[in-house]
Amino acid sequence: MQKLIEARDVYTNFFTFEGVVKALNGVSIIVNQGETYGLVGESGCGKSVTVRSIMRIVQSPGRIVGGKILLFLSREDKGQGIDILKRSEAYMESIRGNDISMIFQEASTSLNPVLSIGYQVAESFLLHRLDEMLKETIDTLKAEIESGKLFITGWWKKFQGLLFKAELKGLERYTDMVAGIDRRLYELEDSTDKISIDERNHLNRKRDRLKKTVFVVQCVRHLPFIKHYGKKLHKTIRIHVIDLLKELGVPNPQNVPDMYPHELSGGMQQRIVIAIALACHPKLLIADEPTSNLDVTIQAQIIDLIKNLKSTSIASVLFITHDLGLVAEMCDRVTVMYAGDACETAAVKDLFKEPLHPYTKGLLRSVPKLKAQKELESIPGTVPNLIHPPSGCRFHPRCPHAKDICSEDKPPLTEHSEGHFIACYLYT
Amino acid sequence: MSNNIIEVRELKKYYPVQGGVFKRHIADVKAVDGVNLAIKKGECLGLVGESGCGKTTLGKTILRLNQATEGRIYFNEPEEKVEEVEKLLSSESREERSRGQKLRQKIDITKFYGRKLLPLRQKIQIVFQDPSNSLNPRMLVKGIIAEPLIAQKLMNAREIEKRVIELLYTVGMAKEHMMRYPHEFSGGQRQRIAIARALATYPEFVLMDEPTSALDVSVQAQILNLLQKLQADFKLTYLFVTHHLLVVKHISNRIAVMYLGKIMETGTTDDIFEDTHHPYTRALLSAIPIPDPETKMEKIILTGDVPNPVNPPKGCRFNPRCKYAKTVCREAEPELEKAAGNHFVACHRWKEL
Ligand SMILES: Nc1ncnc2c1ncn2[C@@H]1O[C@H](COP(=O)(O)OP(=O)(O)OP(=O)(O)O)[C@@H](O)[C@H]1O
Ligand SMILES: Nc1ncnc2c1ncn2[C@@H]1O[C@H](COP(=O)(O)OP(=O)(O)O)[C@@H](O)[C@H]1O
Ligand code: SF4
Ligand code: SF4
Ligand SMILES: [Mg+2]
Ligand SMILES: [Mg+2]
Repeated sequence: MQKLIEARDVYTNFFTFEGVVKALNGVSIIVNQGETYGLVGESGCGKSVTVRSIMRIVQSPGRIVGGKILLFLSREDKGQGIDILKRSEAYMESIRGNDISMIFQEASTSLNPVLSIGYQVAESFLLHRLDEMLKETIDTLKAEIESGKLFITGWWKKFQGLLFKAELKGLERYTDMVAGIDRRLYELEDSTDKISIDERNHLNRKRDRLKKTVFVVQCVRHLPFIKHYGKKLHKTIRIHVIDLLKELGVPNPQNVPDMYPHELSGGMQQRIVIAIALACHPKLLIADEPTSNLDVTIQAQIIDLIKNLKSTSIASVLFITHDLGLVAEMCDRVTVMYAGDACETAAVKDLFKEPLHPYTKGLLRSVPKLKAQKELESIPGTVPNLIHPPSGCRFHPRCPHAKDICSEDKPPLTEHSEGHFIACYLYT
Repeated sequence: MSNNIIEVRELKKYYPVQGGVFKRHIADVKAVDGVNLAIKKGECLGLVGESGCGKTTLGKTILRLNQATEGRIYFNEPEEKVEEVEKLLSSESREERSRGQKLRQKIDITKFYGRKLLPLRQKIQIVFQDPSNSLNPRMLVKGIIAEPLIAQKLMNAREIEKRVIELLYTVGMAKEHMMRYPHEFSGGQRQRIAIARALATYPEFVLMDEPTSALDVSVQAQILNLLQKLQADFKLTYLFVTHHLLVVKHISNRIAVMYLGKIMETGTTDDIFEDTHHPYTRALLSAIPIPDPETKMEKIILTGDVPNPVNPPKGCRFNPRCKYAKTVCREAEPELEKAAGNHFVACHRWKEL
């Protein structure tokens, strides 16, 4: 299977006033192309921090302090991957939104309350699929000019033609330059001598600058004499927005673009957030508890939607949840996390049939099931404070099988059977 | 001897919506809109439904934390007496109705005020969803648990302390925890404290408003086990409000399904899960994510959202989302009717489906 993204032994800390929160304790996950990958665990175990680390959007005072995050996109070397922790912010920005999109639990916080829905979805189109939209606009304009629908005098026609050409060329050059920088950066990635580090910093700065220039160019477009063409562009985008909303099952998609977030219910807001995330055709959609605040019937709608999209327009999904039921329903493979440790990774079927890690076993036994049970089994004790996490295996104070070694060293992640990884001394 | 600890008859609770410059009363949120419900002594009745359907409002109205807009609530009254009053109230003759009203004043707890409420407050208690909001952060655990005891003025300081220690052990905590503040505890422990407080006055009936919704699964299991044990030990009756259907299946003997301020179906847990009649209940059940990749249940995906309770749909409240809706559903509101034994359904077409 093709790897898409890999987190290798990632450590993330939060340097807070009370002390250092050791939120991630060497987490490794691999998301392959075309799969739905689950990340499950109780509140505070580090699910969100893991995906935020992957996207490099850990909030301050948090910092990734160790490990690698490798991205395997088709553009560059697929075998080794690119370590995004070594790349510039501009590079990350082009990845976020272009290749990876993220949706969060609280749909309302991802939407701007004072902007219309149409504007917010359109913005995402403008940001990530500008060249496609431009081309389409030019085509429709051309068609209109040729069919004589649009009355345009000779010089104006010529002028606009030149403008379009210049813009397209500029875009092409920009992409080429960025690609060149990326290639060079990639070559330099693992070299540690001073000269190459300097060059890397220089290239990163250059990329940032280019990004800024493009932004300025985009602002220029709003000058009055280019406006006619801008209007057309908006029309093109609006058609796409409505199409997308229709595809996502938003009732009366013609009117929704003119509404504001507060006029929509939670489920509908989450659909809009998904629309924004999908506007750029991402290779990976990261969904951080997208349905935890919704009712079961609405949750069923959203899950159904994500499943359908998975089979049509998105390649892979990284799905974060605390609900084992949703994992069973949605995911192909899953990692169980506990207090910043990735305890067990397996195919969903294997995990539910034969959980191996003591924490996974406890977790599975403590969920109420459809079959009648007399008493639920529970895991004694509570989740530890991550400022002073337990030594060795972080689960050892609650583990019924803890041995001496468990409190001394962190158990390594080992492959028990094909594709089934466990970090526990019972299996080494 | 009655075997119903609580009887709710045609209960309504409307919250006024104010608007305009003068804050005029312009409409009502019909949070609870004609509920009939009986809770048997010693049972755990699960009340399920989506958020905003009025579960909390119904519970709070039964507890007299809300003043009912209309309807009657009887607490621990013999069945014959309740029936007599209800018959008089619905009678044709004005004289009988006014006699009914007079009798009702004595036993309908929505008509109790002031001192008369005191014994009720002792026998009925509540545990809220979010343990961090329901506990006063500036009070010691001891003070929190003792609060209802002090309010009842039944014990002196020494007895109260003894009772608090006893309660802490009952809920699986220790004496040392008495002199700490709520923020020093985890969510599960805080919920234990809230349960201890609810049990302080030896209640007969406890309203559990989503007591485990804010907790993690492993802690949820601990609390559910504790609640079951307490129910058996102290012969408690629970009204267990939740939106989590697997939890309710685990803990309840009987279930009531609520939608937009009305009860749609009630029956034993097996009735509801095995012999489902109401289309809404079916959709609700099929939407549960099952933690087992081998069982694939067919999903019924409902279209649209829950309508606004200010303006519930005419006829059957569920009709805009129901795929079986017919003309009759849009015109007449179905009442709860008996399907079998203790199983009641409010749907015009349940027999055909
Ligand atoms: N901004 C922050 N400052 C300090 N500590 C933080 C911050 N964000 C997260 N943490 C800590 O990092 C750990 C992991 O948090 P994270 O948000 O990843 O949990 P989660 O698994 O997503 O939980 P939930 O299910 O509640 O969303 C927790 O101990 C948390 O307290
Ligand atoms: N104090 C209040 N004032 C006005 N409306 C309220 C109030 N409390 C609840 N409501 C409304 O009543 C309806 C039912 O609420 P609630 O009983 O809390 O539902 P549930 O507990 O089932 O989620 C909702 O529409 C809610 O917005
Ligand atoms: S490593 Fe030791 S403490 Fe940790 S889960 Fe395995 S047996 Fe338990
Ligand atoms: S009464 Fe009609 S609309 Fe209501 S649930 Fe039954 S079939 Fe559906
Ligand atoms: Mg989270
Ligand atoms: Mg509620």
